[in-house]
Amino acid sequence: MTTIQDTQHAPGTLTVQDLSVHYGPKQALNPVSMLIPGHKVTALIGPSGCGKSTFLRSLNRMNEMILGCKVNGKVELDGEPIYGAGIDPVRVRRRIGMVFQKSNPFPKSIFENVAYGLRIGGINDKQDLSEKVERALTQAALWDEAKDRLGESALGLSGGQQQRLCIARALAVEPEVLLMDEPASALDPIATAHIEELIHELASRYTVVIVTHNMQQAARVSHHTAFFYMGDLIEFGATNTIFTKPQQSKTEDYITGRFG
Amino acid sequence: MAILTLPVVIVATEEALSAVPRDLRLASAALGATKFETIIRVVLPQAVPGILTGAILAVSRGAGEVAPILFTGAAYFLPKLPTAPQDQFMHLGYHVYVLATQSPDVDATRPLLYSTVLVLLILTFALNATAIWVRSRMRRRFAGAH
Repeated sequence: MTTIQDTQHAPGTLTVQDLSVHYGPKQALNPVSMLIPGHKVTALIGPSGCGKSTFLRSLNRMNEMILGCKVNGKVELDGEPIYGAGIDPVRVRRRIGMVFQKSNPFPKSIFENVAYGLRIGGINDKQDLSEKVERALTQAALWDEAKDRLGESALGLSGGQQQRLCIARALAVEPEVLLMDEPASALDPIATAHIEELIHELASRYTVVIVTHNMQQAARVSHHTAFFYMGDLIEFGATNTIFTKPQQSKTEDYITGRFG
Repeated sequence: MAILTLPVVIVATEEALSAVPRDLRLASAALGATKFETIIRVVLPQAVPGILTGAILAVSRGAGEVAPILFTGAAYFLPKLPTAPQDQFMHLGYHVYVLATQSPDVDATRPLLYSTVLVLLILTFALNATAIWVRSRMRRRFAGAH
């Protein structure tokens, strides 16, 4: 098992043990064990279909929304199991939020988008709601642009703003971990730079796990990098090491662009 | 009649529900919403315009269908309005047919005939217009500002 000693006990640490995923008869992810350190950015890289998105989705049980998907193994957040009898996936997802590849704001106002998770959580007090919405939007670096148009439809925002709104929406419920599935792949370079800067800042408060196709992006934003290939975790370690002195020849081939 | 138009309503409802993007359901689930909360807060509000239009169109279509009710409950002429569901009733389309062909004095019934047609046309037109209005109003609500 790959461990990173110095951050092992930071809050928001995810421990994954022999996690494997099947879609029907097909095995999409071979047993993976790793320790995702708390309050750090961990990037998952690898060619398409290598299992990295599958792995990400199994961290907050989003795979259960896919028909025929079966997950084996153990995942723990700060020692508390994520899978198991009597564990409600809905509660898991409140602790482990997620941002998707395509921004997907609800067709509601900007305010209501951010307040959605809060209202679901039973917060209805106006004062409380607006404070929390402001805080989430500020954290997602969208407050200055959005503060005068909170009542307007979220669909009127630009692509990059919509993606930051989705991040704000995920942050509003105060999760411990934030999963991001290629959050910047549909954005232009400037919007991408905004998001990357944001990811960096978020690491001080949240554990961030990000799937990306863009290796420069992984190198820029992450502290640790995991390389997946054909459903296997090939290598996991500090981003610096992975990109400068990879231990596995497959990793080296991939990051130097020899395949994928 | 209600049973006959049911397929139209069901198809419209099904389409409206499946037209709600999967992304939105996933986003809702990722924020810790249960299936029920997702349906109430995200799926239904998005699907309501489609469902309503389908329902109203079904009603206006139903108004035009004569054949099935000829064999069930439509009467040739009734002096009083029906009061219970099991009562016989008159049907506008059938009434037009009766006035045009079965009358002993065609000239005398012509004004009656034309006004009946007018009522039928206005009714159908009004129902369709309501459907269009509801749909566009809902669309605007989702697309634009408040």
